Amino acid sequence: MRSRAATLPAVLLIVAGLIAVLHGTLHAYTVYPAKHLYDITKDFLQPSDITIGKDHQIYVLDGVNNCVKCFDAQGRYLFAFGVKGTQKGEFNSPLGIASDKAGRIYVADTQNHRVQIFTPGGEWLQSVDVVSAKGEKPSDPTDVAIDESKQQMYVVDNDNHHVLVFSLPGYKQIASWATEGDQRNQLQYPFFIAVGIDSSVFVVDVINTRVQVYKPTGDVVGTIGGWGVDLGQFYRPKGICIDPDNQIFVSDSYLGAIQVFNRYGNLKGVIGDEKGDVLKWKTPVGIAVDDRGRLYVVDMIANQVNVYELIGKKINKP
Amino acid sequence: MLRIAYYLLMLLSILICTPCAATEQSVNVPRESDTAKKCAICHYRWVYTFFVEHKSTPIARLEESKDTVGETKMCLSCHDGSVRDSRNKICNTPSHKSGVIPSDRVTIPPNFPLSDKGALLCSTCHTPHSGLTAGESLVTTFKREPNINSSFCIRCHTKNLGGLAQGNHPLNVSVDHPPEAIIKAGGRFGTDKPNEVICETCHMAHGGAGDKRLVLPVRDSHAQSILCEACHTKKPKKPNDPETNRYAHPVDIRPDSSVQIPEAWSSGEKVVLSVQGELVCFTCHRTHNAADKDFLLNEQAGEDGLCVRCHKNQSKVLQSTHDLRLSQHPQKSPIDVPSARSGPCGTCHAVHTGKAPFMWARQLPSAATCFEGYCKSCHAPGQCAEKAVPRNSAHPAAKAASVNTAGLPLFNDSCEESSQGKVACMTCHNVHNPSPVTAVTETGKKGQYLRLGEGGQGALCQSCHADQNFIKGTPHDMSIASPGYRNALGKAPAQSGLCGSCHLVHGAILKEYMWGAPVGTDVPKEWLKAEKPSRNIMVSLCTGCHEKEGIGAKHVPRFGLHPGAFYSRVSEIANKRLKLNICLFTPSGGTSPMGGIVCSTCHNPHQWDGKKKERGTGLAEGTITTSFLRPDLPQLFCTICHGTEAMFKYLYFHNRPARVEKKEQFPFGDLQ
Repeated sequence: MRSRAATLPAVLLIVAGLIAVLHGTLHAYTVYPAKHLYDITKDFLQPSDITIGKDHQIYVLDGVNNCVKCFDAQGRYLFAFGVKGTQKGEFNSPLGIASDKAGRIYVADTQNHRVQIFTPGGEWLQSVDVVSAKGEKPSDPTDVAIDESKQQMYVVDNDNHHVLVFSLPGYKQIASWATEGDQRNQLQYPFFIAVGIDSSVFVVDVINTRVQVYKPTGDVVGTIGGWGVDLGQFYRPKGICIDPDNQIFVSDSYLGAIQVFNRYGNLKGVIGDEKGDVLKWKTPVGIAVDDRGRLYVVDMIANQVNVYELIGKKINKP
Repeated sequence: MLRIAYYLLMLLSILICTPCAATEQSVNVPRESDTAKKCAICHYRWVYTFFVEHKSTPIARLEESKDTVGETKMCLSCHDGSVRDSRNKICNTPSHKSGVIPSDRVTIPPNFPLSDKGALLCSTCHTPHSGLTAGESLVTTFKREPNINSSFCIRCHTKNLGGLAQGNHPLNVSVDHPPEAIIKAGGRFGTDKPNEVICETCHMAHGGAGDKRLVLPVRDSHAQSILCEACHTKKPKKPNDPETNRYAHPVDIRPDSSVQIPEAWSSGEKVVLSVQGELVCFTCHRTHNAADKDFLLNEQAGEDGLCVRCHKNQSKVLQSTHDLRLSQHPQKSPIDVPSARSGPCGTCHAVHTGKAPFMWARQLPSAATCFEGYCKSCHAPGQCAEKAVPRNSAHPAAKAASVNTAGLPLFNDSCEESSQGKVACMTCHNVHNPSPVTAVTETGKKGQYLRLGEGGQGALCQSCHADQNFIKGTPHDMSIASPGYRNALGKAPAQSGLCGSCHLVHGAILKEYMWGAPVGTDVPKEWLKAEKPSRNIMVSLCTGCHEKEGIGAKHVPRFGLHPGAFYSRVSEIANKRLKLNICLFTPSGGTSPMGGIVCSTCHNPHQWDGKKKERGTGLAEGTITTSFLRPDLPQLFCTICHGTEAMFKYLYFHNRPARVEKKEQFPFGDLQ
């Protein structure tokens, strides 16, 4: 009896040792295969973000060129709007773009410190000034998201490390979330933002290398990801989008990968090709998923948008 | 037994686990995760997974972790707008070079890191680790060292220093008025002196125009050289801008067919033109590492020169007497550079400070029109070429050409070349080509500097006066008729050329017809029937030779002139009845319907056979169809006044016995 009692810890120790040795050399993970459909190139200069509007029209924010370029559902160029300037319909290095159910286009006109709203055809509708608080840096709106169910518009103020909440339809600022830092409800250079099916708000917290998740009330739900270069970690998280199944896609512009998480922040997998190899981009930033299961990836340095069809089945990699 | 097995298993487990622990202790990396992150957020290779665990992950390859900290992609990962938006500066040209190995004109200080392959990185110049010093207040861009008045630039670009002595644009000099255009475009001036020119006056590290990242363009299709012109405002000539339409070398124009722009200069550097192929300042000038250190030119001006690289048609001025370097003439160029230094062109042409068209360096004589003023600014008493003042010109000048000049240049009143212009010295002379060369001396090739000079003597005259060229090979061609003949300048036909036996552009005896041959009397005594006209120069031009002692003694007419040649009756008839293009001459040699009948009325001294526009065939004896007679003379002239009887009068007019004795067939059978 005594010998049996001595054997069990020994076996456990051996197993633990083997796990320790094998840890780090084995990565079991899931690949979400995506079939490449087509690329969009249209004289882009470091495009940053993308949104899919009505009739699956594709709006690419070509911010260095200070314009939005619109393409049809097959990626054929339709029109562009915007030039450099400060007047209505003009831009100054815009970074983020979003759309609502009516197809209206919202542009975070970053260095003009405002959000501009356009019809699906690119006609100017309205400007919403993004004003920073007294003592803060000039506002630096880098992205915008709309939650029509909660009648709220969220604007990321990058330089001041806030998420600003505007009520709809009046576009009146009603709240400011977060302060600068790396703790809970703190942000360090938040960049892109997305709203989930359940109205959760996902903020890409770049320097904190995480996605911070808020309730629409401003309460922090939790975080997704963390510092590192392994699966489930981020080095430069940038783009974010939510698919109809409430899965969260996050691009990492330095690692060049797009990872998929569930609403609880658990890693579901990584986007790969049809063979199950991990897909890598040069600098994936803004991303979008539409209701047809198409994934749109803005590759900033490559000056193009890559369009994929997400294949339902998943490939488990040892 | 079991106890032994237990201890063996324990030992095995410890041995298996030991390597990991040993590795972690040996690298001595910060274990507090956030501290490590603050470094590894840029130092990608220091990420724990790579640096400690030496492993890859499904989304990050270990081998890709090397040498990335200062690369563009790393910098862009924050400067893509997610922290700062520097996309345009980092990604788009023009931007300071990165990813390339520095040229030998650049000296990289030891504390300026390069990539493992020796290439420039963003981090070669920038680092977040060096705090700004108090002295640097102008820029806050995490430069590796303070940048005081472009001191940062010259840490590497050492060969762009030294000013003109090193062939570089001067630095640290003051300009009187800092151009607003440069400041507005982002150019900066230094602070050690008022309006001090520094590297960043013209250049910017990120942005600007062209691969040199200039604050204003120098090759833009619409504003070619505005950076240069911002300071050097009074130098260039812009043809379409009256404010700058000076007598300077033109820019902003495409070179025409008269110049040949080389592909590259002697240094191998490509010749710079604007995007549209137009001349710009940088076509000739080079602000750094210039071959010519005085004027920052792409070629040595003092040698055969930059000018003739393009102006090849003018290159024959080299080693000619117009190449003042050879004569060591003390004449200085307008920019106070001796001729030996200003090159073959600079003595006469001031590229940016001309006083007249053609960038003429000299003051045109006030009394002279520009039609001859260019030449007289040197070839005149008291001027540098006073020993080579040409004899007075008898050729019409400053007048519209009465003949087709066949491509010879004419000049308008502004002395600009114009097809509707007037005759000037430069119509006949090419000051850049001594041809035909008459002598080779220590001071260069001497010559007549005639256009078409290579075509032989007379080629220039024939260009405009083609019909007179038929004189060649006739008894009036002195080279065959009388090689020993000397014109008024004492030159034999071989020296004077085909036309020069009788006509002299410079040094003529008579202005009329630029006459340079002997001038005879009005009524030679050999004439049997002396006509006594009023003095008419057209008679004496012929009798100079065609008299008893002259070289034309064999062809002295027995009967001199048409009877009553100068009676008003003749003129009246000629005027009222003939209305034909008959050569009646005034006493001064002009043609007029009221003129008289002289030798040239019936004779064209330049064409042996009036019916054949061709050169002569030698010294044949004349007939009544040759003998320099004008064509259709009987029909047009004689018979109108004299009826058919005129044929006999015409036949025996000058030399009845000879014609009778020779029994020449009368050519006008229908009138006989």
